[in-house]
Amino acid sequence: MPNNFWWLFASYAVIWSGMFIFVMQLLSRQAKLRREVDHLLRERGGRGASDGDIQA
Amino acid sequence: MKVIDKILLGLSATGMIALMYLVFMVVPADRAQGIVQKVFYVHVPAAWVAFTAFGVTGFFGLRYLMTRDLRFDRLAASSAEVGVYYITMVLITGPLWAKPIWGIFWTWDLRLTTSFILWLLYLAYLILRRSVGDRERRAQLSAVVGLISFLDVPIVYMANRVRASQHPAPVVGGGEGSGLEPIMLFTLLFGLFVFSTTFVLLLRARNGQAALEDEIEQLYLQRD
Amino acid sequence: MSFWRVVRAVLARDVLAEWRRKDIFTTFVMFGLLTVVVFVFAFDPTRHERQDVVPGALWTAFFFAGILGLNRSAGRDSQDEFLHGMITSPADRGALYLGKLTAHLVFMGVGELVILALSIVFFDLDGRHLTPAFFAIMILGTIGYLAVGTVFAVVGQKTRLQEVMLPVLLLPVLTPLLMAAVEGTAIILTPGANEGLGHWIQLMAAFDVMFMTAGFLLYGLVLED
Repeated sequence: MPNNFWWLFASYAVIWSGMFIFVMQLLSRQAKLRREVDHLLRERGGRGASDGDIQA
Repeated sequence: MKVIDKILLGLSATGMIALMYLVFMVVPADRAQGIVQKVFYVHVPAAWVAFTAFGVTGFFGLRYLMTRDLRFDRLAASSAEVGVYYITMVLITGPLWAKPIWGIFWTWDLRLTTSFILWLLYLAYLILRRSVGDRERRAQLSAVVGLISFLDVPIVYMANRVRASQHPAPVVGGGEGSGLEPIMLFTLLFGLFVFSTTFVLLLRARNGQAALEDEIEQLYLQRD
Repeated sequence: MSFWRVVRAVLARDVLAEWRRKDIFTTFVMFGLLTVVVFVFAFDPTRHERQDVVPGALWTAFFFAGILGLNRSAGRDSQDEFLHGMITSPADRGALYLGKLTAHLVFMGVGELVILALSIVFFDLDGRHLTPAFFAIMILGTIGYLAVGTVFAVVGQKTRLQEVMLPVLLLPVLTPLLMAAVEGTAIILTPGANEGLGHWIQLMAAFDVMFMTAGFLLYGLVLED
């Protein structure tokens, strides 16, 4: 039974890294989008969008 | 960050920690399968979320078709993008569970096969979305395909059930809820709850981004 | 135009166009036959157990050849502006769908019979096995295939990936139908009782009803620009 432990460990490692990767992707895309919106709005003349959250 | 998202984040984070504690410190190992069986407490919730997320995609696709409101299309797409992660987790943890127990990485049993088909349906939907440039056409075609794909899932399940009844084969994870003690059932249900709150959190996050992406596209169009 | 007149009009137009060009039918039969031949050589033509391969070979041939046929059909409609003509007309979208579906059924049905006939020769199949149940499965399988395929073929044309999109979308959805068709055919071709056949036929019938209804309701939405 102890030797099956590594299979269990692998499964949970996959779950956790999967979640970690997904969240990192979300965060990096969020930052990039924010920069882009700020840039476009300032270009149009006015402040950036950093104040409110644009949520659907 | 809005209040609801803060609540979801708090629930998800503490929930995950509590779940890990339950799984490794509290719940006893399965008598027949030993310690590996504990994969069950993440494998099943992930599957539950993956199937529900696909339903969400189908549902909001339908709402889009009824209203032509892009907000629904964004929700459908976001649900698919989050759901595909969950189903991938199911497909990876499944073999990691099967190998030590049965000696084989894969078997075309009822649940693994249905999960695999679901994965293919997700991928097809996401590939379709990437392949259409026009915003409204993308929403329309995705909604139709998403709806048809979702209607297919119960049929996939039933077909595999008929096959399972005619060709007996090993079933990953044993029979439905075979020998679940109360504490195990509680941990499973708790896992379902935590995975669900995490899903809603991720869905909202991804959906917010989708709204931003559409906003940006609008700004570019206005500029030109 | 009344509902059934539209259906007949679309069917007539497609059959006539195909009668002249014959390319959908030819594509289907050629490719289907070649798929069967590939199976014969992939699974060793000298082995007697080759019989086990027959249901799989047949349905794989139908499914893959069907994709080529559907792509030909939708591609041609797109080029001919027939698609455009259908959308701009006031005709009932469901009627358009049924017309298209029936036309495809004619082409694929005839094509399947040709492939079947040649397969009987290649695999030395016993003609007694070709019972009504056998043909029922062929019909149910083909209807289900085309119920979804007719819709998805148009979807594919509207994407960047074009012809490649159809198999990506269609094959995952059709796996239960394929399963039922192959298992059902295998049960019929194996000597002995036809146990369990009923389940498969029921499943295929349910599939057909469900997806013909879905296609009927949704076809108009994919035709739209």
